Amino acid sequence: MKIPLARAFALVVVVLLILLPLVPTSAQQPRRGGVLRIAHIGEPPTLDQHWTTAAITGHIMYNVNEGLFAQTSRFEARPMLVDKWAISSDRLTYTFTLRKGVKFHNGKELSSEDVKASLERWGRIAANGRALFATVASLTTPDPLTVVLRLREPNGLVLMYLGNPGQSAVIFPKEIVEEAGTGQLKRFISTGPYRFVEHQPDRHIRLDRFEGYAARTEEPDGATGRKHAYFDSIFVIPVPDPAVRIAGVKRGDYQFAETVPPDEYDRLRADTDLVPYINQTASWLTAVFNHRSPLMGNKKIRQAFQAALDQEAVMRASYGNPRFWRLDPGLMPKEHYLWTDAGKEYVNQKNQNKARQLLAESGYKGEPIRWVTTMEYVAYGTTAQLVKPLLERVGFAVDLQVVDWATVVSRRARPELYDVFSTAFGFVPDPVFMLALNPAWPGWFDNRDLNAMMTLLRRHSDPKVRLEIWGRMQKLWYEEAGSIKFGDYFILHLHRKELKGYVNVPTHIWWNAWSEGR
Amino acid sequence: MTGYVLRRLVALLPVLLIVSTVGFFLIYLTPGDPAAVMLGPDATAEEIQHLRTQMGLNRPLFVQLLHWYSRTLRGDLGDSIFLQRPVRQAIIERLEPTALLTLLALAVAIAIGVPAGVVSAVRRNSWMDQVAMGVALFGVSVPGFWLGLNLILFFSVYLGLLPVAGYVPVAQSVAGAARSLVLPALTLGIGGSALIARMTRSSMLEVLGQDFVRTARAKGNQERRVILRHALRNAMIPTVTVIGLALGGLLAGAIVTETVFVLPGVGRLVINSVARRDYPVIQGVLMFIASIYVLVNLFIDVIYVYLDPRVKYA
Repeated sequence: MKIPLARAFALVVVVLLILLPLVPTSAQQPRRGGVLRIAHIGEPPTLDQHWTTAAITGHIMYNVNEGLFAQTSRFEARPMLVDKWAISSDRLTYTFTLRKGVKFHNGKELSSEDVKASLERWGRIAANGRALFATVASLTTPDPLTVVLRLREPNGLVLMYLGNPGQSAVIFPKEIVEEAGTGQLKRFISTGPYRFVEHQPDRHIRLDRFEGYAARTEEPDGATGRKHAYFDSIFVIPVPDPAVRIAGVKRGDYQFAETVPPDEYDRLRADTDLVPYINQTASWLTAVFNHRSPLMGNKKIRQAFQAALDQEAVMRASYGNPRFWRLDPGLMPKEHYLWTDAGKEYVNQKNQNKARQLLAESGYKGEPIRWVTTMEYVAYGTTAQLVKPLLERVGFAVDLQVVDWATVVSRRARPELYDVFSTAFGFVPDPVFMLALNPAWPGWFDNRDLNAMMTLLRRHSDPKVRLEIWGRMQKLWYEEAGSIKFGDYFILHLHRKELKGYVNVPTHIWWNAWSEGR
Repeated sequence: MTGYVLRRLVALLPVLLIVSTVGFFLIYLTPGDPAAVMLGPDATAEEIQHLRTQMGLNRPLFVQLLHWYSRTLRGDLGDSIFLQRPVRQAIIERLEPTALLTLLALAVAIAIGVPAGVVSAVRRNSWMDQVAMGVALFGVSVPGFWLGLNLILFFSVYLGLLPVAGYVPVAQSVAGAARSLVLPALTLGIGGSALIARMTRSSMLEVLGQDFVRTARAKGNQERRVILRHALRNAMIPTVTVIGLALGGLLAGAIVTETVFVLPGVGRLVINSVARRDYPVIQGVLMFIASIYVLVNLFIDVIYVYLDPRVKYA
């Protein structure tokens, strides 16, 4: 039997039309639409990113706000609102040309005046901003798309400061900055792919897609490159109980849960609807010495403390499954170009004899070491409870003060009240941002040699030179027993398998994520 | 009666004065600092001090107390440090979920507690008594957060019937509000029912042995009528007192329940404000809860008159 060509063609078309819906679309093809519901651990103290260093504020508002620069997944600064930039040969003048046609959420076009007002505010109120602006001679705007930053002395980290996601140098319209005066922002408007809609405390923070968003064209990498708001809306919901966050993701009420207990990992992994996501950047668990207290101001006492520790036992007890922790002498994480193991001989010493000897040489008379810790972050309290008997075994007396976190934060600012406090340090893209080395931060480790090397580190931009300087600094920190780094830990998050395109370096990147389901 | 109610309302003032003064000192003498919380973990001591001065927290304590009195007398509870809105508005916004949760939980508690108490008194020492009192013991002993999480696992995750957590305002959807309150109300109500059941049982036992009950039976009344009409009504006075107390307990329990079920109520407001040291909100909510306690007690006293005509207030 012969089938006419036209009829055969029609048959093929019909078969194709029938089969087409059955062919799965590419698994990685982003889909526009839907709502992303994120169960976060609580409420942000403020939504003003210049104002606070609280990570939760950055997690939410980095979808809304953008800065001149941003960070790649390898922690390098790349332009965001900037189109081109030039650095003068004496490395003192930075000329930034802004991208044309970038709109704020209120429809106004971005101009150099907005950048000037925002950076000056950031330089006045943010810790990092103040550190950078201490070396800034002037900030001028010769035309609406050009910003010129002049320095008094070379600073190798200008772009890094401008692109750091923590307490970020994000840009707001000039009038919004002026409206805030010396206080917090009253409205939240920037240029990001999502715009702020509302904050109903203890209920949600709602962000909607910004339809007028001007995306870059480069491939996305970390927080840099092309951004695309696939979701219609993002709701960030405060869910304080981790068990409820997990239950909510299981049921599909939330697509993402921030920070769930690592003990749950094996159980969650077995559920095919869920994806347990281990943070790729490490934080470190620490006990910070108060260098202004008579006891911990004594180097031998600090060294005795350091020598007595069994850090492996501490990390195992605090985080369990070895996927979630590692012992590592590097104060910068292993993945960073500045990682070094200088000073590794001071890590995990478990040397009771050395500790006893150092304590005898220190003139220590059994005064109790006042250690302020909390069970609000379980690992902090667990660590202190584990270390206490180790210290007592070598002759220390330890007065463990377990209080709520707000009390730790207020007490640690008063040097007369304590000797040691528990905390953790999140990832920072460069040692210059490291709190443990900041002489103005509680603990007040103020070492002349270290401070001099820090000035050098800030000035240089050559990676080899910087690594050399940083290696010496890290070694000195360990020799002086600046504080204790117990080990690295990795936070566990959870999301549903339909959520695609989410990455976590250098921070939560939700703007290029989409939902594959329904 | 009206005079009595008015006198009780006037007596509210010294109660609030004492509560606010004691509360003020407790809050301000507790270590912790809203400025440190707001600026985040990386803030230096100097930055925190600067913000404290800006917020007026470095003024002498008595100056701050006098400022609080003068403001409160003018009906102004101040502004929240973190919520960027007046405390009064913050409390009003949170009233709906807390009021509905408390009332529903009370309904659950009464619906379980009173029948359980009556049955176990009437069938004293039977298996029904043992079961009812066993359940009551369980209700008293089990922590609210544990019960709440298990209800979530069963009804929301396993059966998929109800949302895990969160709240839908009544104005948005009555059915949504009801769905979001079922599990919290059960969690809170089961705990509250235990106390009511035990009190109903013991007062019923006392009443059932009295002469008028025997008389009622001798008159040929049906047993059901004897129990519900004669015995239960007389046994209700101590039970109503306990229901009043339970209402206070439910308000306190709402703090835990609202946290587990992510209900944006007054309980969450308290917990968050304490954790962040949002002093004006803690003070405001303290005054609010103290007023509710006093008013509920007054209401219970008034109900006595209707339950027992012998009760008279001069």
